[in-house]
Amino acid sequence: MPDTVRFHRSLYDVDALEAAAEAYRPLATITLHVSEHDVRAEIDDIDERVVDRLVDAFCNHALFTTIGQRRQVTP
Amino acid sequence: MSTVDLSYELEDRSVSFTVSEELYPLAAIYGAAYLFVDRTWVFLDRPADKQVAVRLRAKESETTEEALDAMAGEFANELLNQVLRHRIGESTRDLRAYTMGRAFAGSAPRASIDALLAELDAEELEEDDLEIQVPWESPGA
Repeated sequence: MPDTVRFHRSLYDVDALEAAAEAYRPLATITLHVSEHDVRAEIDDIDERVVDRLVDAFCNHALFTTIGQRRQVTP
Repeated sequence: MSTVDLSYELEDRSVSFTVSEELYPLAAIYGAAYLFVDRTWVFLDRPADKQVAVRLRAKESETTEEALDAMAGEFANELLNQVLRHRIGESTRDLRAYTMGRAFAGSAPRASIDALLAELDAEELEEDDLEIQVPWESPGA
């Protein structure tokens, strides 16, 4: 049963979520479902060595990247 | 007096609370979150319009309600700090733009290397009062 995390698009950028999914691809199968208001991430087949923290680390990675991107475009 | 409702989930090692974007701009919430991602797991959600739910989850395997309370308090303090920074940034935006504009508009154009070399080539060192005469070039030698 995959872990599912819903990210609101007003708070998380799709690009950032895609980058985070790519970064964690060696450790888990992450599928993103983008809709109008949110992005649903299904996280499955997590590497046993990081099973206790991968979802949290994925969320942090996406948030960190989102903030970095939004700061760059803010005048 | 209004209070912030903190929701603790000790089994999940997390504390959650909701902040209003009308009081705390998203930039300030991001600023505080940015400083916490190396210390804790941070997750943001939007339960309603203009509301941001913040969940802080301890990275340590065991934690106490006091530790979670302290974490939430530190985040709230940082939130206030970020709001202040944001407001100062907004209120001085025009002044900073004006200062930068004056600095760039008032500076002389920088000479290129080629222009400097051409200037050296054209320079008549012999006519320089400070030119030191060498014996084999002096007229009486």
